[in-house]
Amino acid sequence: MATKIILDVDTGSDDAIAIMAAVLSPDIEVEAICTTWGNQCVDFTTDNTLRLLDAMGADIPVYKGCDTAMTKYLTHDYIEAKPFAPVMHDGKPVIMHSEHLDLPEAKSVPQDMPAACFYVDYLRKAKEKVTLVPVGPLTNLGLALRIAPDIVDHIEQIVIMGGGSKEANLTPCAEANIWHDPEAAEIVVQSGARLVWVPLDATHKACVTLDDCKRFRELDNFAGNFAAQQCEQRIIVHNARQPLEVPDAAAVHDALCIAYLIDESVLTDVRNCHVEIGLSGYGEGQTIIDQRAEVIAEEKNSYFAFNADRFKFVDILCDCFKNCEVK
Amino acid sequence: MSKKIILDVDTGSDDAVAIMAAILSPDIQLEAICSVVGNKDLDKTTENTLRVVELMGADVPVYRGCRTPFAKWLSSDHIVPDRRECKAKDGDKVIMIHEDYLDIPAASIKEQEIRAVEFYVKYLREASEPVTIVAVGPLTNVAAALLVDETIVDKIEEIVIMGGGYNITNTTPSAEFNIWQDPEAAQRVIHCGAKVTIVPLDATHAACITLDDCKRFREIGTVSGNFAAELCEQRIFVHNAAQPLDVPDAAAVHDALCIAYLIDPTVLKDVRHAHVDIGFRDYSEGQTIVDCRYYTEDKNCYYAFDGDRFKFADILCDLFARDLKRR
Repeated sequence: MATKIILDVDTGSDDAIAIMAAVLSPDIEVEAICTTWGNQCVDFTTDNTLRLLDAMGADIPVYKGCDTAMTKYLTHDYIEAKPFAPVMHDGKPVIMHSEHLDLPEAKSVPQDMPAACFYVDYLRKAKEKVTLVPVGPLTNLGLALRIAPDIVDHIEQIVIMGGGSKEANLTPCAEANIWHDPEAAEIVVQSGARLVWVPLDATHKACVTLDDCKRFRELDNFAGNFAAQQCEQRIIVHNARQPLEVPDAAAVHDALCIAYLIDESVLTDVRNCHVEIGLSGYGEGQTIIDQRAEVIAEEKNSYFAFNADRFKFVDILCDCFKNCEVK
Repeated sequence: MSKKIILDVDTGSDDAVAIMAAILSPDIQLEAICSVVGNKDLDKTTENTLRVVELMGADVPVYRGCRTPFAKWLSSDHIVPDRRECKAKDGDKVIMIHEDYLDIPAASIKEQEIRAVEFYVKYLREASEPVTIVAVGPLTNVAAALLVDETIVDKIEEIVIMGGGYNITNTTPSAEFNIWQDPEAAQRVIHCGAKVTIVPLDATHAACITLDDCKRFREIGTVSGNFAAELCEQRIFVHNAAQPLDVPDAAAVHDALCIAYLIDPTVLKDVRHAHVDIGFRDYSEGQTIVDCRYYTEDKNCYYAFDGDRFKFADILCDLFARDLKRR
């Protein structure tokens, strides 16, 4: 039976690949997609999400979410992340997430209900438990859990792309999604739901190479081509600024969450542990893993993936993309 | 024409007086009441609110609000007030400023299905004319609604807040309770762009209710007059022991002053247009910071430094006299 999920995205190049994989997988039924601010402002991430769904001919409701963090920007005492300068390639600037995906403008529009209200309304009425897959900042979900904490009873698990134990990408200790809204992340952590973390430790291992992009392209359909295009763009930026152990490769963070739902074994070295979020000072947005001895460690609240299988990941993506009927 | 309002309460003894006043006033059309955690936990404030509505025989929908402040308890780096309990001993009996449950029959009516934040968003989006929000508890619900959909601010005529204090505090050396309970929510609300009027302790302690006023309430011979007298006497007993006011045998009835202001704005005195911010950390946590410099930051609030106690008691007497339920 297909796993019912709600995606929460800030599309976003890797979000786009996650959306395509989820929509095309026979093992996954995408109930709805919520958008959030993050890689870009929420107007852009919503528009990009709609563009992609239109291009795929997918009829999935999109709910527009929050455009700022729950509390972060109310004060001045947060650490500013350094803005990234674009990487120049063939005389042209390349960035990790373009403002607009290179697709025709969207014809479809988001639903009336805002994302946080959708979570509350959908989950309170849900007859069976649903899996949430937030791959952007956790603002919508944090807020929904504040509005109606009882929705947690209707959540099967929350698969989070975010955080990092030995890896960080926005500040010396923080990954972008968690850094963007640490308070929302901590609310999710404390919610009591089953949490599976897909952090940078895993996504940097499950990288996609230029050779993999070739495989995507050989599928000769929209999903394969568009995924190849997005990954190639990411590889250029990774090579310039954040080279991985594998040469000519990029992390495609968000899509790894979808791969996990299709085949759990794509995540390796998954440890049951206590996770909490740094909320202020230099620790802001850090995913703190309690590494102390079992007897004195805090109560375990998470499954945190420290590694992943990149070959399996790419095979899973190819399997999904080959189902695409759009050329 | 009567003014449409939504009340947001943490009932609470003075909240009960405010609800009765709002129900009875011909100048006010009470559209809905939202409950929030504050004086008591959410189950109690919701039940108490329903009790008052039922006692008054009023047909007003009640919506269950947030159970937890936005961000406050997520971290441990806040001051736990060394709070002298707001209670007093009468022989062997302990009198609280807010009893767990109001001493009126348990409610048989129920709250609405959707939650307070969902209600705010839905109601305000559909509203054809602007509405006034009167928030007399912590501002968690209102802040959450403004984050879910910032466009609802266009449908808000005014936000009247009971909270804060400049020369007077009651929970920590720097903070009044409602603001201290959810400082992040308060900061979001007072900076949302709507007209904000703050009714702080400076005003509510000046506009106190005396034992003589309680006699007047009782002599009216209505259910509301009688219940208000009981609640005020309870408050006076505790005030005398824990927090005596300038006027002897008197108590602040904070929340009801907001309702009086809507009926006759001149009940608030020395109302200054000012820049107000909320302190978040350490000793200033929950402080209402009023910018008193000559060159102030942008003015975002009307802040009442004084109140007229005679006018206040007269307004309440007029309202209780309108109650059709005789004692």
